[in-house]
Amino acid sequence: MKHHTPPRLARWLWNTFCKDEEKFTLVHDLDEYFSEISIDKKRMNASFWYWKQVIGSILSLTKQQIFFGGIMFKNYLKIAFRNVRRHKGYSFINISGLAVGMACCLLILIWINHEMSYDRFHEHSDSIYRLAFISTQSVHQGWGTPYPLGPVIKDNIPEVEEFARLSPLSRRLLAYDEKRFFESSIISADPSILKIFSFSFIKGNPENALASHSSMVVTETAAAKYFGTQDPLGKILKFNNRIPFTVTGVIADIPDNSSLRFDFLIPLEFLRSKGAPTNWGAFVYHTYFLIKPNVNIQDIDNKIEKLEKPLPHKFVLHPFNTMRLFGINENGVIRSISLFSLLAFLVLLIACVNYINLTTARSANRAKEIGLRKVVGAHRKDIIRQFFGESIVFTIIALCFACVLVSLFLPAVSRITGSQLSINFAQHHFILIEIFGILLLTGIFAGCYPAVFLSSFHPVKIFKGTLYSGKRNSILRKGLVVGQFIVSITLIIGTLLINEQLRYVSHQNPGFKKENLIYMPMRGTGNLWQRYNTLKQELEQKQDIVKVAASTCLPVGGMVNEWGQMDWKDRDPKERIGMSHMAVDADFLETFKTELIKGRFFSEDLLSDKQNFVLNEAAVKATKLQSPIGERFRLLDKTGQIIGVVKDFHFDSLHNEIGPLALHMMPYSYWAYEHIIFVRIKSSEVRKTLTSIEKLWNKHVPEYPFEFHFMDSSMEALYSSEQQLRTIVRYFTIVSLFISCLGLFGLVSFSVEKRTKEVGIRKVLGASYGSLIHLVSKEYIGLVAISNVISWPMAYYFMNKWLQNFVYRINLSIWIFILSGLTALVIALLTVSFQSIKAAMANPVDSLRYE
Amino acid sequence: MRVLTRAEEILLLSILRLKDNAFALTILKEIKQSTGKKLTIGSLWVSLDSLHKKGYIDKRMAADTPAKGGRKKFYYSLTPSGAKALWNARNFQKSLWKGVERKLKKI
Repeated sequence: MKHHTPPRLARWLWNTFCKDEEKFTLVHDLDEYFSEISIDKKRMNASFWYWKQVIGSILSLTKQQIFFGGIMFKNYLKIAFRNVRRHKGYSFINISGLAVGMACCLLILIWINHEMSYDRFHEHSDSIYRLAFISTQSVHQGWGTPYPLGPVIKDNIPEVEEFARLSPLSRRLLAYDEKRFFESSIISADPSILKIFSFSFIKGNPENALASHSSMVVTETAAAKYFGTQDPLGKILKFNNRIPFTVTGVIADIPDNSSLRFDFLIPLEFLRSKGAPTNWGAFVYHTYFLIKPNVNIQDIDNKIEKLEKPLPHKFVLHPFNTMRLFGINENGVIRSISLFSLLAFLVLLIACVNYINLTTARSANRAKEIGLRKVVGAHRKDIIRQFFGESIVFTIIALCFACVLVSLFLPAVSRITGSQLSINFAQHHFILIEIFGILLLTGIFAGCYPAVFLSSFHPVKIFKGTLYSGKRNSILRKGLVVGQFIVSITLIIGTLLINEQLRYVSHQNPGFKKENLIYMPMRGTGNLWQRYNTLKQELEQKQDIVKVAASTCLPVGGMVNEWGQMDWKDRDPKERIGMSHMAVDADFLETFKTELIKGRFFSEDLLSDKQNFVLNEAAVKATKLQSPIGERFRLLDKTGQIIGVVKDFHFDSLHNEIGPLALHMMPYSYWAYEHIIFVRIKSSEVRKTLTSIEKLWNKHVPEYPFEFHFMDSSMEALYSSEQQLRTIVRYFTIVSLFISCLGLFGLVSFSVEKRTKEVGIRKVLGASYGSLIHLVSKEYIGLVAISNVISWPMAYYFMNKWLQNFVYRINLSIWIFILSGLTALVIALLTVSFQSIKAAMANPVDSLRYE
Repeated sequence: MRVLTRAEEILLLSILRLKDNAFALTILKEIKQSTGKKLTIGSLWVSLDSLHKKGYIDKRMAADTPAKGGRKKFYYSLTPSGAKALWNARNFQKSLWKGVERKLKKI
């Protein structure tokens, strides 16, 4: 004989349902019954029987409550809808406010869902890890790892199932017949990458797609771009016009929510055969691991640390599927996610406050209804339930409008956040639950205070007419209005300050003339570099071109830094200095229009200059050289003299201080990351100039497409995350101000309505328009003034913190605060004055004749 | 005078028949035996509760013997007014059937 146990879920359900004093005995009874029944039944049948009992019992126990509850519910609904319809103005204010607030929340939620879904589509996404290095010598950390580390880790740590190194290639020319494009989404990787990540193959076999050195996997879009409707398999794409690659696989386009993006995948072996560094010193590969499930990552980190390797640095594994969120050092999108969801939440809060304020302010209108309900026998909890129901009805109506707003603004939000947002119920199962959650949260939050407050009315007082709304209540209302405007004013200050800072950033003189400077990357343009001098001469013959120069990298963020291999007189070996360096040609100074402070610049005619250096002021300060000119200086493989000092110019974003910079002379192949031609043009007829440059370009290298950029717009791009912040904060400001003003409008029109007679009598007795307007609006204007006083220090604190991100920043001037306060005050005044002027203009006969 | 419904009657009769051993489980089994109806424990509770409110039955809480698990449960018993109501129901039934049994057989 065997005893079964009741199904756990059913038992739990039954247990929680029978929580009250007496019903708990039912649990015991049913258990006993079950143990008898289950003796001569199979387990499945016994469970089934138990479930039937539980569900049947719950139904019959709740039937009566549901029945009577249903009748009352219908009544509540009816009253709620009547209220919506009768007071159209207030309903409009409530519903539109809630709709806008919820739409904001939903949009942010959709965006968060999108961000959270990043990288989860890989089959093993939970077991993929990415290796990061943490320098033990400086504060540096990053994703770059040396070539031999991956295999060493895989061979020595059994928990590691697979590894793949990859290295993105920037801007290479690919060609198929006449179709040539510069592609910057090429990745070269170990073939095991196709085992670790699950990219869905449309054609070809993932097992051996990257087996040969010259094989290539392309995405669907890329295949269509080059081969049109032809079968891409077996087609040959020419890399840099020389090396043929055979397409061995086509994968579906990489989903938008993937942080690993590419259009072309080639074997890492190819890079190696072309001389890519495979020593321990070059931190240029990204290494991904597939770890066996249920393994403690901390253990593996420890094992990696104990591995024998010729490097002092620490290496740690980061989970791949949260990489997007947290980044390497908590600097992922999580920061914007938390900021924007806070803003969305605040906007929703402002909308809820409107509802609370308008409902409690107009409570007198509902007092008789409440009194009657109580007299007839409603308990306080019934009234509370009714008003919760009402707020939820409002919220549901608002939700419908919110959904419309969301579908209208989704494309705009996609543009701001730079990701393809869509409402995909199949992909995000939780979105419905989340929408429901927002609905419930809003309904409960908005309904909470009104329900408690309205249900506290004493029926006797109501009918005797001695119910007064109470000072406590109006103070709360004022407090809430102040709160709304604090948020709005803080946001206004934020918008203005971000705007100011960004304007400062783009108008800041970077130390060279960034306007009318265009540049053309020469990377991947075959032997153009050898013909550079001819091209330069021909360009300079053009009338509208002032000067042409070249350098090894773009002085806009991301310069090459050297920490170790350099030396100068009296160098303190303990002090670590990071020195940016860049090879330029002799015309760099003139093309960029930077200033030379001491000494001279490079000259084409002096052969010795090929070994010499020009430092910037910051570098002179960092090296502590008293008289730098003529001193010996060594950097990497060059040893020469310092021949000049240039004035500091910004070669990084204004977030960072101008660092030490060493210029040396081209041609220089050791660190040839990029070769870039800079062209200083005259400001007139830019378009014509560009066409003439293109003509020359095509004359020299017709096989490579002409591509150019403006220096100033590339510099703007350094601040794209700030620009995104500016846009989003601006929208939130508008929305919060709009909702706050709606609420204010509602409150004022209510108080005007209440004071119609007072205004009428005052007018009859000779009050002027001005004094009447003042009478009605002074209270609310005062509130906005108080909000100003509170929000200024708050905004000061937050904005000061934000500005700390920039080394070069504006001063927080009081004018921005005053301006924001005035803006809010004027907008509030306009809102209020509409109603107060209406009241003051009204004919007293109309308001008094019923007396 | 209010006449018991059939369901109430069945319940009261079961409780009467079970004497001191009338609690939810035994009542359920008794009903199943005498009428073949399979009730859920919840619906039984609802009916018993309404009988209790009407004053026909008493309930008292008692614990099982430790051997049976020592669980607390409600035992039900008839009140005098419950007994009276049952008598009334019986008399009502009788008077309802008086003199029709023979006629019924003839049809």
